[in-house]
Amino acid sequence: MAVVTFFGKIVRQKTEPGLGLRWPWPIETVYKLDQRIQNFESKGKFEEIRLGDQNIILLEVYVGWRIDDPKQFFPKFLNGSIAVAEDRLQELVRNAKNEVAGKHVLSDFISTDEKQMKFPQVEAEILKRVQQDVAQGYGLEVKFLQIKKIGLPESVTRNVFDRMSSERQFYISQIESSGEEAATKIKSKADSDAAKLLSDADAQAYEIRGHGEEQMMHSLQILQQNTNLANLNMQIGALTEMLKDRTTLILDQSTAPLNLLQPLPPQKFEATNAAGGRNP
Amino acid sequence: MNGQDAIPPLPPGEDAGSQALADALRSSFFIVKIIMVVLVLAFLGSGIFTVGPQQRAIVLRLGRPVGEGPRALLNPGFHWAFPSPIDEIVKIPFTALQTAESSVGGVPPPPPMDRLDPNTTSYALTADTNIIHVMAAMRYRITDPVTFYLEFTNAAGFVTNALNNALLYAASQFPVDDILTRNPTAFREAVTARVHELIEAEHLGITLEPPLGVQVSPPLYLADKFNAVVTAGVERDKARQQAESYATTKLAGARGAAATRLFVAESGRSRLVSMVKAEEKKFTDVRTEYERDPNFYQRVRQMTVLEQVYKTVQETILEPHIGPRELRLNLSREPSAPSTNSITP
Repeated sequence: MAVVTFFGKIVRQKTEPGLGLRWPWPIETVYKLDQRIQNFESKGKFEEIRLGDQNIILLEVYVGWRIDDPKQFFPKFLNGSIAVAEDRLQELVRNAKNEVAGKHVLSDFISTDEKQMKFPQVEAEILKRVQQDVAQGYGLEVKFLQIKKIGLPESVTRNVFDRMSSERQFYISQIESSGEEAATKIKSKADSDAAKLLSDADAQAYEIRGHGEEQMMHSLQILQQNTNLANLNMQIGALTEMLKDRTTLILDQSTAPLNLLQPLPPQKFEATNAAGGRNP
Repeated sequence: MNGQDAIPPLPPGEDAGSQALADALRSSFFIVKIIMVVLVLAFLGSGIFTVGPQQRAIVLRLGRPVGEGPRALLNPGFHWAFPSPIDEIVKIPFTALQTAESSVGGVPPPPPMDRLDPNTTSYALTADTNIIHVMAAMRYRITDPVTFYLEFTNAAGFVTNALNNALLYAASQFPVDDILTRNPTAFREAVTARVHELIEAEHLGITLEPPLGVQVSPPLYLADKFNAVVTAGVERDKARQQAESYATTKLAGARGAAATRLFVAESGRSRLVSMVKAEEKKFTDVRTEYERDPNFYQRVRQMTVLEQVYKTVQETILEPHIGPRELRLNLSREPSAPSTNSITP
């Protein structure tokens, strides 16, 4: 885009590309202006802004703006100087930031609650405020405005660090205790479950043995019909079982049938002869 | 038209001066003709330009781009355009994929400071009002070069700032632990979504090429504390795993012991029942015979048993007067030798 001056006075503007005619210099002069969108970022010190809840934050924004009306822009900013225009824009943006942010609280900028979070809304409000200001004959148009940088005062960052450090320590303690608690619970449950398994098994084993004794009772009733025979059978069985392997026995000579190896008593022989008169 | 047509030869009878003038004019016209051809060639030749391998070019004809969208871009090679002031060539550096990196929020250089000067350092504020350092890099493709290069004085700067804004915006919605450890994926997705939103809103003429690289880290001053939390988490998991291992072993052992107890009980029951059944059968089989003459039966069984015992006994020692019978079991015997029962008086 361009403006044409006739002896220094703006007589016409051209906003579309193409051929044009003018009187030669010095009668008419053509000033070409960049109609592209300019990238403006706050310059200088990062400024503090007091919020509605008395918290202080620092905001830096970037702005996309372009020359909208060369006839207005050219005389307003030193023959269309972009730098001069951005100096003025900086003031407008600063005022808008302070005014808008002052109406908001810190949780509007940072919050886990989506409903409370108003980050884009704050940007839109600042943009609207700047657009209203530049509409007052500046000849420029602000296309968009976004937050580029956000911060806290240096002294506050120290407090934040202290709090973060305390939080970390709390988390460490919490994690350690929760770990111990969980491990203890798991082990205790395992011990309990194991004891229950064994006690259940003991109960089942007891039941099984009881069932076996029930099954045995019928046989015992039969055995009780002659306890002497039953005892004899069982004693013989036990003795056989006990002596089934190679064993050393030390026995009295009178034990049957070894008593048969003993010589007969002589008096018994004589008595027999006397009684019967016969030799054995 | 040539010189001969323009200046016809003098008719016979003209003077020599006129003839010389005619020759001179003919020569002059020939030279002018050559010059005009050269000028035309020079004019046409001045419109030739080259586009380098890492460049693209846009032709502005009377200030207006020739072509729309990607077709407005001239690829590397020779091209022709009308000389200035009709056409104007705008050459632009170009790669297939552009890269942008965030310019705020990064980790400041050491040493760790217990406070951060906002004018010299930058960071992001998390939803739980903590401070965190975030960096991001993304690749994008210029899909509308006319817009990207001719609508903005510094479109790449807007891309970088869109990335900066997206990092701050996303960080402001997540607690610090979500960003660092619990849900970094959601954080990265939030950054990506915000970048998309801004690129479309600002009509930058680019398309984001996923994935977006995001790097997050706690403040240097608190790095040890954050690491300690991670370590505590690892230790907690380790303790839990050890407890799980203990539980698994303990329960497996208990199951085995329980099974053994049941097996022992069952086999004991089975043995007892079998034994008593056997006793019952034996009892039933011999009862009639026994009741006929119990003493005789007992004597016969006794002798039968003794016979069996004597067959298997290793050694029998007879003592004349040992009083009550004494039975000694020879334990820990030597390996079996051929059985030779002997009776020692």
